[in-house]
Amino acid sequence: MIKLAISTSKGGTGKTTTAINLGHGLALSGKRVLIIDCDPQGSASSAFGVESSQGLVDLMIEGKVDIYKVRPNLYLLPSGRKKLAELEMRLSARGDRNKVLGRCLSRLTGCDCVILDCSPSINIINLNALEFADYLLIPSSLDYFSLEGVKTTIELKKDLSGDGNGSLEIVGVLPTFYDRRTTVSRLALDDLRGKYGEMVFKTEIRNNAQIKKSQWFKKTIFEYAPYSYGAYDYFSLSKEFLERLQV
Amino acid sequence: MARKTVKEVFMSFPADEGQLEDIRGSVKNVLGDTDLAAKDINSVLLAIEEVCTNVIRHAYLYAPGTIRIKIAIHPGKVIFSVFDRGRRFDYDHSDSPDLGRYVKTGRKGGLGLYLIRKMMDSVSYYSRDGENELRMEKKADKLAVRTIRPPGISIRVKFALWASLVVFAIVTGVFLYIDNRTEKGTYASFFRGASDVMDSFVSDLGEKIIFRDLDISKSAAAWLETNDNFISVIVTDSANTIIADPGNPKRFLSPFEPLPREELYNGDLAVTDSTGITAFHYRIPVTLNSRIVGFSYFRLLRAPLENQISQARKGLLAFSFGGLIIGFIAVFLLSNYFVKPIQKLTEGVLRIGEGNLDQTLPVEGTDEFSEIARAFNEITEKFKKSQEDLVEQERLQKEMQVAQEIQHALLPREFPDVEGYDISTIYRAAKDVGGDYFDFVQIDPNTMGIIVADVSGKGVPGSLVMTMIRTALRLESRENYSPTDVLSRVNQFVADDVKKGMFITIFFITLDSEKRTISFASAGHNPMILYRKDIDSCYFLNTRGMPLGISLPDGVKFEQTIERDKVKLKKDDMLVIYTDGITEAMNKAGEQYGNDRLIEFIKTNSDLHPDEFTEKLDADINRFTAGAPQNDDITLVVIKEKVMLDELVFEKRKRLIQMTEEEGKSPEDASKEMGVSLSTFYKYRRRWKRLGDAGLLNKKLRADSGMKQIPYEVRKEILNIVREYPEYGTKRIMVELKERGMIDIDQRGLYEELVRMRLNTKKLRLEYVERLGALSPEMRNELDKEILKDKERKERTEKVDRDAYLEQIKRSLGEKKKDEKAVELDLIEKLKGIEPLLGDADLYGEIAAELAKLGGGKDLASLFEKMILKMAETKIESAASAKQFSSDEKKTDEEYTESLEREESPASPAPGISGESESFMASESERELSPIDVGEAASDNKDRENADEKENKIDWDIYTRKLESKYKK
Repeated sequence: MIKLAISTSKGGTGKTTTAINLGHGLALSGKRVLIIDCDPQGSASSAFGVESSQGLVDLMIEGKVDIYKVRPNLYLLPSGRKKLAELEMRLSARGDRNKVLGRCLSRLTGCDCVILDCSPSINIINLNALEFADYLLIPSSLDYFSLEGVKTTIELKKDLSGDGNGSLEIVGVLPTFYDRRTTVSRLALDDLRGKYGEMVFKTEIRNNAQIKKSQWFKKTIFEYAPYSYGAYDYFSLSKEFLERLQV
Repeated sequence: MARKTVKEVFMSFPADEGQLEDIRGSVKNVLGDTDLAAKDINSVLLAIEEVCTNVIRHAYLYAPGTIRIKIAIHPGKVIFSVFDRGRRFDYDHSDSPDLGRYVKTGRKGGLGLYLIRKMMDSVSYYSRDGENELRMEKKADKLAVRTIRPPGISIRVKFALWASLVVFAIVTGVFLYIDNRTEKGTYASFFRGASDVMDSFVSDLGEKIIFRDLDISKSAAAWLETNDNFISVIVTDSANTIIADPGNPKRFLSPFEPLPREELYNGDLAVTDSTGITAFHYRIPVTLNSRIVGFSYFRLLRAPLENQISQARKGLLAFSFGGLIIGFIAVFLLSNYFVKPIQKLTEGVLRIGEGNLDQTLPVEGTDEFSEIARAFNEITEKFKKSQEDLVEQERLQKEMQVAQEIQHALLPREFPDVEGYDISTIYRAAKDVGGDYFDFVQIDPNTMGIIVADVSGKGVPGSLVMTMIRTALRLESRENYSPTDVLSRVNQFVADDVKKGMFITIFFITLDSEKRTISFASAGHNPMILYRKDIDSCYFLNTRGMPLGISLPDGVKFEQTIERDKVKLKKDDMLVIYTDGITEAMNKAGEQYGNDRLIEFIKTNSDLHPDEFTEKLDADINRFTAGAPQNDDITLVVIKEKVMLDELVFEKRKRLIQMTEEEGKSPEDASKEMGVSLSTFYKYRRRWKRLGDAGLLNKKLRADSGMKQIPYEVRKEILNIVREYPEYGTKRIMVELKERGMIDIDQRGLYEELVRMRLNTKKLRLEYVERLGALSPEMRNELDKEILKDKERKERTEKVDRDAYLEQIKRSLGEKKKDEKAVELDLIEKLKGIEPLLGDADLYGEIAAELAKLGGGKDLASLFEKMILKMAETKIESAASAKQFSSDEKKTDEEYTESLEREESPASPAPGISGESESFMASESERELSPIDVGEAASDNKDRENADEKENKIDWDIYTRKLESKYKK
């Protein structure tokens, strides 16, 4: 089972977009995918039109939760929104606070890939997610702050590795919102590739209006515009992702 | 202190009695900085109020108007003028009333003017240009003038007196000393001058005497002329014969009669002669060649000397006087300088002593006085604060008292009788007002509601909430048999008015004396205890429910959170409803009474009548706390069912069965013994065999006979057994339970309990133990096996279900709308062939028209239209590449589009995966929420998912090819 956390400390770099589209891409390619929305904002949940106040938080409190089937092969565990943020406060007092999610999900079987859509900060839920995950995907929009975010997240990962979760492995840094026409975008991409080399995905997610449109219609890019280059990018990402993991 | 300038303040108010308070306040503000004393201010305010009242009541009787007030503050007095434009008032004819008459008749009012005159120093009334003015003057009382002096001589006077005395003494001393010195000096210089003059006169006299020079007389006269201080000079020879006497020339050569006493010629003593002239006498011998040849007698006037001395003294006196004055001035200034602060302090302190705590002492400089002032200010501040605190405390105490009164008024005074139930209550209020509340409400003649509530807030707010709840409850519970509904309505009633952070837990139960059922619902309250006599165990009965007044998460309604349950009491069962004041009652060691003690108590005292029971429990708690202060209210309601006919009947039937089944009597004998017919026996034995003991109950009691809950102890024991022997099934668990001396619970009941505990399958039990981390290796193998088995089983059942379902659908589709089906099938065929013809509008129109013809086909038609549009959209992108694919690929490609279309509908909870997706919706009160494990959920529908996967796989491959070919360039 692939446990993938999509996380970076910078907001707005396309974590949720990547989570749902990569998730659907993998689902379409025959994997059974569970997306766990770890963001109190619940963007991933609303991306599939799920407006539930129950979810991850109930799992972490009661150990049980209902999962939504949102597409064939694609399942969603909503975040629980506000309650999740509250839970965070409660967790912070516990000694084993980073391992709660891992314990709750220990009995998760029957799915090939778990994608954790993290919130753009370093908080306890995220630490839980990173603790649980085996792989880490860092999306980075091609601007300065976002590159900083990549650095922070990689450092965080190193800290975590020192902390015990040695199994967390960065599957790759994903350049998003790539716009070939702008110099800054190209330079940033070069910078990223120069700095992290092979770690960066060959696939870049280009800035595509269809992706944004698809979210309005609560669809993934594969449904909304299956032949757009946005879809192609995520398709390529899915492929490269699987290749990297040699599945 | 008095102001030198006149300050005038104008105000105007509408003539309305409601304004009196404002007027009073405004005037009071102005008077705050005048010289008037507090008591004068009060009387002035009274007077002004009286005047204004009269103006409003009489002058403006017929028309509204305004009252203008002018306050002129003069030094030492304040003049108030009240102007109005109303009816004129006959001031001159309103004499001072006869007080005696007033007192006699007891008439109130009308004394206004009298009062005003009494309170003001002078009152006058003017009326001109339609405006009336009542002018009142109030002089600042002498005592009230704010120079407060301590009784007796003030320190300033003392200081001045002493300082002046010192100055006076110094000046006097200096004066005397200087005077003395000057006098002496004057004397000396006077005499020295005189002797000089005399010596010069005498110096050349010797020869002249010897020669009897007549010239002597002349020169003596000339000398005398020049020295006015001398009144006479007589020159004699050695035989005392006068040789020259310018004052009396006739005495020439006559003998000189010297003064009788020789010492008089020292010049020290003045001699007053018969003419009243006081003079010093001198006799200076005239010598010639050291031989006395004669004498000169001089008389020196004393008056010039005295003159000189008195002159000098006068000057000195003036000077001393000046010095004194300067000294006094200095003393005054100094006293001012040093004593002023003290005086100010004293004044301030006295004023504060009078009760004016708002006063602060002026703090100037950094000397000791300012230190004192500062310290005193601090003291005053503290004192003021403590006084305010005291007031606040009194207020709180009063509030508490009010709250307590309210609360006590709310508590029911008499307990209604409910037929068939014995009810007893105790209520012990804590010292501070606690938040407990209990009440009885009559729902209908046969049903009574009992409410036990605990309000989180104390004091008046808490009491008010109780009042609200009481009202709401009385309103809402009438004829409402659902405790949940009642609580929901009560919540609605109070929710908006309950302060944030305050909440109320309520336990509400209804006793139906006819059906003999007890329904209950709990809004976050602690559970009630049900004691079952027959099995000697206690149950904590509670339902889910949020406390009232708590703000719930968005979208969650209070009604949804609350559940209700029912219970029936059997013989000697006891129901104990209580608040946490009992279990949390603390003794001095900080130990709590606790659930265990309570249950133990209930068990040992269950035979008592409720009245005795409550009494004894109260005593027990008192014994436990041993005088420790009670910190929360204690409320206790105990309900016991009176022995009922039904129960007796049940006992009888049970005995009947026992006789035959256990004691081996023949049915005939047993029936005879119990006095029933044989057929009755068989009837009940049949029932007993079918339903167990419950079958012997009368029908209306039977419903509840399988108690939903299992006693707490049993539950704990079940968990223990599962932990030890996870492989045990229901039956073996039951046997084990019995062995451990637990109650004899029927297999079905145990199974149901296991379902509730989610331990009903071996897999679940093994998983439970795994969670506890106590799974042995062989058990782990068992678990793996179980999981596999479970999967297989699910697949199997799934298959069957699916097939059956398809059958059903086929039947329903096939039978009814065969014709339409045919058209539909035709349509589907056409649609399948559409892809090569994309863009052929005629064909689409045709299809749409045909669809519209179908019964209820409009939806289909619009769906179709949408589909076409969608295809047109994708066509542009895919048209080029589409042509590269062979026709059958195109067909599946279109299927792909179709499948995407299918999924277009917004996501809905997948019923298959969650098992009970409704649990996201409002859960009904009766149904337990049973969330599904993630693991189970995902593996639940493996089979069906496999089918899906197959479909998707095909799509994905084509899609992959298409995408790649498109973007290769």
